[in-house]
Amino acid sequence: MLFTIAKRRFLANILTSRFIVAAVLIEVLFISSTAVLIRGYARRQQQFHTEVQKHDKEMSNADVYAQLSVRLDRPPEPLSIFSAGADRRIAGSVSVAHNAAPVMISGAEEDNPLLSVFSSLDMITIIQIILSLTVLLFSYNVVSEEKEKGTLRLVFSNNLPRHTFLAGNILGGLLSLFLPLLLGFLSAFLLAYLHPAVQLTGTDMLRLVLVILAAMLFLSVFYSLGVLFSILMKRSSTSLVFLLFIWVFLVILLPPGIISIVRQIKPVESQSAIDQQAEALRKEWYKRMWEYKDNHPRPEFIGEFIRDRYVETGYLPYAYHLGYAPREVAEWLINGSIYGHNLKIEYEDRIYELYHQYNVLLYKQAVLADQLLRFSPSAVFYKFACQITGTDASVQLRFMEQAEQYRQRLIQYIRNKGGLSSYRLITGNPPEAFLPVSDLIRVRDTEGYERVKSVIEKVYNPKDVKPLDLSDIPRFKFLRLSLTDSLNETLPDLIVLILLNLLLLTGCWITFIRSDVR
Amino acid sequence: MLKAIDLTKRYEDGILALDHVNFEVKAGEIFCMLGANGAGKTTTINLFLNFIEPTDGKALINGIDSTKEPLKAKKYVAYVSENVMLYSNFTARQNLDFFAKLGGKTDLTKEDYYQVMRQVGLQEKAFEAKLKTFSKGMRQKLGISIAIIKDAPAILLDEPTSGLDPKASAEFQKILLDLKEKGKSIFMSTHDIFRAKTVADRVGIMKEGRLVMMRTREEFLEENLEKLYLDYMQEKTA
Repeated sequence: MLFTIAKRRFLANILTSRFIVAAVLIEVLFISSTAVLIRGYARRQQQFHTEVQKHDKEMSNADVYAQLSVRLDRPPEPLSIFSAGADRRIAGSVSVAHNAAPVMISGAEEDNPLLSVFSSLDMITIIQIILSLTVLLFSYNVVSEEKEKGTLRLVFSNNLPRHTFLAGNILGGLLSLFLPLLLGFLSAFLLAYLHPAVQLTGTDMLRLVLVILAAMLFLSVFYSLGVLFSILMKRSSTSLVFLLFIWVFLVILLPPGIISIVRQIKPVESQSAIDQQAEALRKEWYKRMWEYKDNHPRPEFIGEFIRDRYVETGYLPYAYHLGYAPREVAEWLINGSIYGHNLKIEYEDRIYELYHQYNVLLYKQAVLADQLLRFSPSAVFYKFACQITGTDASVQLRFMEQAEQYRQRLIQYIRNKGGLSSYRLITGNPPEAFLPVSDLIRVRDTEGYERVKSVIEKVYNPKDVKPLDLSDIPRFKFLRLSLTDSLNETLPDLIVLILLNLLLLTGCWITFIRSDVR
Repeated sequence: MLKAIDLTKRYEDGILALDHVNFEVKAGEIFCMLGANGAGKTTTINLFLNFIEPTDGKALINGIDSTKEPLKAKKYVAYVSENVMLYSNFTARQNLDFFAKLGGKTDLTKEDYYQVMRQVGLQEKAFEAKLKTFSKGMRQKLGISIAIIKDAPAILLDEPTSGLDPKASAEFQKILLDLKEKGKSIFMSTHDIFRAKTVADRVGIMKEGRLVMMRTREEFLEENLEKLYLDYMQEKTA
């Protein structure tokens, strides 16, 4: 009997013109949104590869460790073609160096990018908004219409248990509505699968299956809600009005409303305040460098003996690169730079910690929002889909954390190479290559300035300076959360969707066994 | 087969819809219940189908108390309402198939359905036509088909000829008599005294929830049923 009831409901749904319209609309939206997102993904993927090559080339040009800056690139998430999430908003690359910590570089200054409940038009948004509404339009009258038309009397004149009728209608209704979902998804998936730029792994497919399962749970929440109201309300029209109001509240109003409340009850200072603190630390470092300079006065400084020296200011012994200088100046610069760069590492660590703590605060705010957003099945589904597909905004935090971890490995690498304790920090030449100023003066006075120039050129000829051997430099690869970790993170959301279903189904059952079927 | 023992129903608002009603419909018998609107005819049917529970008394189908064992009792009864409402997007055969399966008939063929529809006088072209194109008469016939195909020993008919044209009513009458011949216990609530007179083996008149009169066919033919009915109705207004 369950099958008979389910089959009737299934056929009753799919034989209607509204179903055909809805199915076609969903199919068109799934395909068109995925096609647009695939195009964007392919472009970003191409850009990623170009950037990686460009950054590798830039890095290989470094001839001193002070100038070694590594640009870290995060590839676009392949599953963002189904669940755009925050993937496009998250930084695709960040520069790190021993003296430059990675900081969050995207997101509006006053906004928490982790607080997001809608994305651009993608499969998830279509399910979140259009399919949930469609489901309501097919469930608001499941029982009330049969009561209004009188078929319910005829049905229950048979030895049919009420729970069988209810279960059959829910099962048949859901199966009919899963049909456009699965067809739409299958079309979108094929579109992606056949595109050369999209490489989906087995795990990616498993993640997609989980998203579809969550979508089914999410849609069945709205279906059960519709059935519940169709039992509670005598008239289908009343049921529809109530359900539309609830839908607007749960899907459109509640998520941004909760985020607004969270901003009020757990405010986080703006990023500009952190920027100011970071700036203060940089100034403190600068001050300490001036103090160092006071204790280590600059040797006699003759501009004509100096060549290709990259410094913040010539008054400070802090250089990024030294081409040529008299030995006294070279030693002053090398020693000062060793002190300054190591000191800078300490300050950059503190600056990173500032931003990291700020990000943690943003994350805590987002966690509170997530907990409250569990009142909205729509937001729960969105969060689940984004986290499982790796397109949630917390990817930005992980990217920054991994970038900082890489920076620490880079510092260790430079230290192991002696790059933070020797002349190699700022020059490719040994200290003895630089003549004392007295020798240079003597040569100039006896043999003329042209001879001095040739001495300098002999020591420093850019063509002869070999770039650093970076063949064994640590490589960066952005690590996505494993499927197990993603599941662990999203398990509460999945449980919420399951519990909501159980709650609503129980509500349907309790109200229906007590309802008047006449 | 159908038996009401002191069947009483008082609604939550205090209205006494049925007051200790007793009757029995035997196999191969048609019992027509006459009465004005609100007299308690439909309430009686609702009690037999366990749509509502009695305040007192019992409604037995095939000896089974429909309150205590509603699902078991409903195996033995078919029901035709005043306005047979079926699924308009389905064809007559699909509707018949659906309700036959609910009635426990799961092994019927398309031909079986066609045969029953022929039996009630539905035209062949209507078999695979959608219900939304059906007239009331056609829907009533299909309702009867549903009752026939269930092949239950008892049938409850709630004003089945209401709104039918004379031809359709006559056809309906013939079907009822066929069912009676097959030994079905038929309980029919109706306003239609003429139809009751033609088909009933016994007639009861309900008034304000009480079964105020019961006559056998021989008795009501002798006494003039129209006059009896009017007399009882006038008593009400007097």
